[in-house]
Amino acid sequence: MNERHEQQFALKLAQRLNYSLRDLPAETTGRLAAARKLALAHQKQLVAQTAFAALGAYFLPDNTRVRQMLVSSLLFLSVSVCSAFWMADQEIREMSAIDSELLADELPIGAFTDQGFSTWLKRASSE
Amino acid sequence: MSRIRAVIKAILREAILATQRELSDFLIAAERRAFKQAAFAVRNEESALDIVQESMMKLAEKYGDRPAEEFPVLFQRIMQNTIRDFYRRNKVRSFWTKLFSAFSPDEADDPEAIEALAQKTEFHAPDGPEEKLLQAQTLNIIEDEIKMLPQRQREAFLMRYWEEMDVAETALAMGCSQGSVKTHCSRAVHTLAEALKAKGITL
Repeated sequence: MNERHEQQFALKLAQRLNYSLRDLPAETTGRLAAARKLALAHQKQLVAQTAFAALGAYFLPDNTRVRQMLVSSLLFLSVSVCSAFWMADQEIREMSAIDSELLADELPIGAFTDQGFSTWLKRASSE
Repeated sequence: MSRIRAVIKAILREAILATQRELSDFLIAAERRAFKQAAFAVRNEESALDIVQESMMKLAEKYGDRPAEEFPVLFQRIMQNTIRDFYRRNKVRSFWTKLFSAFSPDEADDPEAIEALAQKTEFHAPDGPEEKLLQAQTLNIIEDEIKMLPQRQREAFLMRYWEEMDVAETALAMGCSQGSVKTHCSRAVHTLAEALKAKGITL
């Protein structure tokens, strides 16, 4: 028996077996249908649908969703306000440090960057 | 805004219904074969029904979100594991019944009684013309021969030719190489051919 014969024979057997499925007693088919329905009632839903679900849940807020959104937005708001204050404070501190250094120094820092002042310095030192 | 909500709601419902329909269609197509397959393996209709129910539940609960084309392989794999669990439980149970039967000789569920009951429920001769009866008898012989195949050979044979899975899918479901699927199938077909020939049955 070569491979082709094997397959043909096997498919004939499968056909015969298919006949047997027609004559299953009603009790058996009924119980199979009941088992199927029970299983479908417990079906796990698509994970890929969670994107849809998230979108849907965002647009269809129930009570808990509203509360969660409220809490999370409050949290976000307070964090952003605090960080804005901290950053402004940091900036003011830096500026005040520069100012105090400038005030403490004899020559204002702008003098060194001034073109006219440096030429005057050169002339004054050469004379 | 309310229109967007309605549309999203409809899409969601449609998506859920679609996955349910896919699984439902698959189970409707597979459940009778699955029952027979389990019955070949455990030789008891009641247990076969339990096995199918348990397998369906596991498939739906754990893999209900998978694409429909994965269902056949997953279901076969689950069925095999459930059948193996059944064998294991039966072994333990038979150990205890053996132990206790020493104390109480008139056991209600001694193996012979169960076998007799199983045989009684397994025989469904169609009443009608002689041809139909003959066909049913042939079928019974075929089924008996399939039951007698070694487990792995039977699994490979049924998956390849009855479930119409290809070699790669069968190998995946059985957790073995494609080469051994081919070997199992070939052996099963040879054994069946010889057994049927010996009984004077030609297909």
